[in-house]
Amino acid sequence: MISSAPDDFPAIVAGAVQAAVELTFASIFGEPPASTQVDNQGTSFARVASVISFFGTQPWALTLVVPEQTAVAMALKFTGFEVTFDSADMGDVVGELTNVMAGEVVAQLARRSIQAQMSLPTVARGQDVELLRGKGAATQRLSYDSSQGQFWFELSTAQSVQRLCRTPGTAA
Amino acid sequence: MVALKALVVDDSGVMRKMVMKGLTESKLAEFEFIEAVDGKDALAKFDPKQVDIGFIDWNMPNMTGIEFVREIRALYGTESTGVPLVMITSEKTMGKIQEALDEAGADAFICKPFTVAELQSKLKKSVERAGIRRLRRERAQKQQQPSGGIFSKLFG
Repeated sequence: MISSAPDDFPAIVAGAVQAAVELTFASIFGEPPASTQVDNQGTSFARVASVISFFGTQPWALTLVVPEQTAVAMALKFTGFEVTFDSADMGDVVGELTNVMAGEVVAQLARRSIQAQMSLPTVARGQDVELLRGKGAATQRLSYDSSQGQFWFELSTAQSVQRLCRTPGTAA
Repeated sequence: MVALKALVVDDSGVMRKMVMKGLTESKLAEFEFIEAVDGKDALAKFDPKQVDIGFIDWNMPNMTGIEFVREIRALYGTESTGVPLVMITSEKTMGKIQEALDEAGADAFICKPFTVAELQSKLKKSVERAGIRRLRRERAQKQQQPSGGIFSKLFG
């Protein structure tokens, strides 16, 4: 069992996510993103959010939030072709980026003796889109700055968040 | 160069495009692609007499990639073992790699994100095997076809 104070997101899981972000983004974008503080409270902008749940020692969820400009730049770098923000492919790109990241998170957790399985990504796009968390969930935000722009991850522990996501092999 | 019929299975349309683009740029062979959106769709489109090689994602709705590989190996037996099935997935733990290669019957394992250079080095043998199988099949089909014989002599 992962131990942590009741309101804190487990540090060992956050550490695995940080390591996974650095490795994954370095391999896709050529350099790891810089950890930063993104303060966009009260700012309105279009974004894509992709959530993946993890099942295992402790259920928790990871949400990648990418503002419009970053999403377009990331998509070009990731796929090698232009993807407009409003296209159906944009959801696919951000979902796939989260999926690749989540695979590395599972590998990083395994190195820390924590077993986890990941769900399929669920993607939402819109102005100020935000995914609701379960009551009493411990949360943590990891913000980054990169050559493609700013983006961040929201981590949250909750029993109910897994209902947001789809289990591989089950009906879409 | 042999044109291979490649089944590309991924629930992400963008990832299917990326796999097809990477394979084309690898120049390992000429490919003709058949796309499938999940294991169930792939199962319906898989014919060992038509498909030369398969590239399969792991985590998909309805039927996962690993379930698809197990199903194909069970359904077609030795006929399917000649068709290389390659997992292209974000799963990267040793347990998952072993499960795919040792238990399910996949031929190769490629972790996302991949580069064209990785495709070239990890797929060389599988593509060669698919090419040889394809050539043998074409040769066998030609031998089975009537050579014309008396009819060609009679009717030119």
